[in-house]
Amino acid sequence: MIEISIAAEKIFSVFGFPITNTLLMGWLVVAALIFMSVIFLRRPALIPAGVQNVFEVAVEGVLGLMEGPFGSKQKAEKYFPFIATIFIFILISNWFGIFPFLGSAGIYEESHAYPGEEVFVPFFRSSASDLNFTLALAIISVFATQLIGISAIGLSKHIGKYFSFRGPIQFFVGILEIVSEIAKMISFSFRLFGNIFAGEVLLIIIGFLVPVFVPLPFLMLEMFVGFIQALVFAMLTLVFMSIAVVEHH
Amino acid sequence: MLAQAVNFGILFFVFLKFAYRPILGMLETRREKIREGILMREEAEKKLKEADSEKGAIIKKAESESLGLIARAESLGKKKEAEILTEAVKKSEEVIRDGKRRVEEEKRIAAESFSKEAAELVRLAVAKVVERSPEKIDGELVDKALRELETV
Repeated sequence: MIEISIAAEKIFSVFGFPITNTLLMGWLVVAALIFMSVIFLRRPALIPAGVQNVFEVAVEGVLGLMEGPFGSKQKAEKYFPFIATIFIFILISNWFGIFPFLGSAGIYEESHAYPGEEVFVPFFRSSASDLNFTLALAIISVFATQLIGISAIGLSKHIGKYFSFRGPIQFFVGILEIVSEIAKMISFSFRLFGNIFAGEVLLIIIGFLVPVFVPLPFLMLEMFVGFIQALVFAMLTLVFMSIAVVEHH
Repeated sequence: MLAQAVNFGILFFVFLKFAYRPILGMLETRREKIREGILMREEAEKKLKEADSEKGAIIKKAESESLGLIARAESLGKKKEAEILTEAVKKSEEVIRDGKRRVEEEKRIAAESFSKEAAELVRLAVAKVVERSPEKIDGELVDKALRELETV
């Protein structure tokens, strides 16, 4: 029987620390990406070939995309690693999550909702279908934006964006800014989580109803959704950072 | 959540070390090389233009020098030709003169020889006529006859 669980399923625990299937997927993605980067990109050649070509096209594309909001190539190159890591991490996590063979490896456990019934628990589940992952990235994104803003324009000017005593309207706007920072974390995390979790549920249900051929277009749709969600997350972080590094007038 | 944040942190630092820095550094190196290449190309084009104009000037100079050389060679050739002709005329005249002198000499020798032979012949003829020994015929008489013969 299939059970759809919003929370990630615990596979085992280490010293009381629960290891969930989304965390396992996170480790797998990190390991795969580290392996790829060390193998293919450690010593890039001046005349590119193979994987380096693909990576360079992606780097140039993202840098071009970042140049607009930041206004200069130097700034774009400075903040590129952070934005690119967010994008790649989310994208590969999303795509790994829909690999059929990854989702099919697992164990049967007794259901918590229906005691006495056995349910299938996969070892790997898309990281973004766990709110912990999306919230972690959202918090990192928002805090990194604050730190980058402080380092770019200085602490007092950055704080001045939130606590302004020049007038009641400015003061109120400052409070709204603080609320919007918290809202950013919520919107970031729930948007990504909602999309990827809904995709997982959709694929599970379609696969359960018609296991052959019919899930194919949905898999493609989920690949596209995975890409779009990674892009949205990275682009929003980029826009917030580009706003944070300029002074308020 | 903390574990996922740590995952992100590890990935960020590994990417920074093994992917972003090498790739961005390499892109910068390549940009620099392309910029250098363009500058060198412009420099080379400038030098090529200079070399072209210098080449044109050298060719022009060489042309005028060669024309001068040809003119000088022509006048020298004509002078030499005239000298050779004069020399040849002189030599031919000498050869003709020498030939004439030799012919005259030959003629004189031939005439002398003929005269001697004729005298001998006449003496023999007269001896036959008078039936006397040729040694006894008066030489003076023979000479006289010969002189008469020459006048005829």
